[in-house]
Amino acid sequence: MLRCPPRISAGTLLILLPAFALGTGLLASCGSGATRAEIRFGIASADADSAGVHTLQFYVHTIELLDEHGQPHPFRFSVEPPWQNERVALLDLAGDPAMPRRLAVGGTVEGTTGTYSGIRLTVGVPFELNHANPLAAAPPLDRGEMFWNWQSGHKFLRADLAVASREWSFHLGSTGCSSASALRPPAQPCAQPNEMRIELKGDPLRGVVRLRLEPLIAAAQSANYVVCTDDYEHDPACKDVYSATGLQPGVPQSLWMLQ
Amino acid sequence: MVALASVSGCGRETPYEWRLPPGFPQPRVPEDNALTMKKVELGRRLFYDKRLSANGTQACASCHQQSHAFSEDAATATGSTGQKHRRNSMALINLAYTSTFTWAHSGINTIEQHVLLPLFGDQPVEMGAAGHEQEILARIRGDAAYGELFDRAFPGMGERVTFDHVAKALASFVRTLISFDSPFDRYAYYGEDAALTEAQVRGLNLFMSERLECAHCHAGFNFSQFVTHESAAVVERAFHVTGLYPNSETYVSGADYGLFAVTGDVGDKDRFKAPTLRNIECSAPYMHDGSLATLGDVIEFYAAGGRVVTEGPRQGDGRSHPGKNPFIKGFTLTAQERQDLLDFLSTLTDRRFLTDPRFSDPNAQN
Repeated sequence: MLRCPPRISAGTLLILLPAFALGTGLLASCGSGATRAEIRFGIASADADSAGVHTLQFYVHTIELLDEHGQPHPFRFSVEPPWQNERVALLDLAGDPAMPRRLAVGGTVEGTTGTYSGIRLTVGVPFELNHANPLAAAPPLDRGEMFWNWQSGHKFLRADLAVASREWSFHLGSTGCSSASALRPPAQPCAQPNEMRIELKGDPLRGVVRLRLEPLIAAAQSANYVVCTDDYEHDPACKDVYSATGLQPGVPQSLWMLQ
Repeated sequence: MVALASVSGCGRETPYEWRLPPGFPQPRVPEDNALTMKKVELGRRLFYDKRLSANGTQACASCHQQSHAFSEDAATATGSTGQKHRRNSMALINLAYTSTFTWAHSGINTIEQHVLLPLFGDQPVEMGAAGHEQEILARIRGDAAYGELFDRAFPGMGERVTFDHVAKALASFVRTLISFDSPFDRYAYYGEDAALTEAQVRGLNLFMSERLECAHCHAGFNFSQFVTHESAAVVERAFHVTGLYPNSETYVSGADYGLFAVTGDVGDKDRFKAPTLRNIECSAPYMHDGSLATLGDVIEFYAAGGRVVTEGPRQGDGRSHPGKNPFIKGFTLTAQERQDLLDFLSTLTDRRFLTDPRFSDPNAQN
């Protein structure tokens, strides 16, 4: 178990803390009953060349850390606008070099942090937040490029790639949502919510939750001017990448790994 | 909802009152150009004043006419000296929320920067002020009414009649050209179900559908991806190839390659921004060069996933442009669906905006 850091001068602390936080995903805040921690995200190292990636963004909510006995411990999101509120965080792994990236979710774990054996997280936006007016929504749910409309809600994962100078997009979100029009929210959850509930083995505070680009690139290579934004299960351009999401019953996800 | 723009420290200046739908974020206003009623009043007068062009023949309002949502009924603009512009005059709507100006420029981020282009640009000449600065300022100084307006708009600042102040006043007026009272707005942001007909709702659903993909680029409350406001986290920027022209392997002299001219990146060839669709039925003709005459033409263009150009220096198949946005993949519409879509686009017309006396020519009212 990680205990409080030894007494050191404030100057040393300022120098050590960022490297310490970066190296382990931990920031101790002793005495408050909760320990600051970070869940880091990235692209799988085998796919580190993200030159053709124009957009790679996704929303994450409901994170649990699994202890050595497999017991879940909630990870509480801290409010860090514009990237996260207490419920939902936006990650931005690659894209326009002029734009800022976001590679971690910040929050706290009750008590002190220990060694964990796994992590559960959901890539998506909770239904009750997913279909509201984005202009009145708290960041990060105010991003126009991550929103379809009231009826369909937010794009949970948005990947825009150019492979061999061909552009291809995979935008994953809820489908089969019923309401009076595109600008009215559904009263009932959508037929295909398409939230990715992921469980990964390993210590999430020492590793990095990584997205594999390979399934996306493979799909982009086999497609020609195709966008994959709704009928994920049947559209030939979507089928392969959809099966990687783990949303098909009986097919485990192969998009995410803890490295 | 009435929201107040930033109040100046001295308390003498009356801040401008935005009229925004409930819950709407306020626009960003540059720190060095607080929005005041007096600047807006001065800017409005300047916007309609032909003396601002070197030869006294053109005002901003010559190409940006209120009845056309501050655009004009011409494929491309003509400057004060008669020189032809390559591009269509853009409508001036909700620019207070716009993050990038002109049809294709990644570096012009405030209205204050933008107004200098038509004033001083010489490729082509628009207002033609370059080289005639003192002459134009002398004309304005010679008008006693302006003296008072500049004094009130820029109190205690030495020489009042400068191009810096002209640009700030013009930008202040243009910033107030806000349109949020269309039937679409009543339906979307005021929750008034009766604001749209059934046919218009069907058209709205088509517009938002994955089948047509219109809303991917014409996104958000301005129907454009270039939106910023007081609480916006990130300024979005996205320029697109639509398939209006074929890819040019060699550089065609005089052709308009859009963002490429600014960045020099070949990947930016033929990239333009998706303009707002607000008041779109009033700002014909369409596209950056005004080459599509009607909204019906635009729908057919996107239904075909681009077009084949058979005349002029850039002939060929725009549909197979390698940089073309993947969402422009074509679609088929029944005659009823096409009419529904046109009916929806007409709901973006804000009659109050087009006739609002606060935006009209102040001289015409005298």
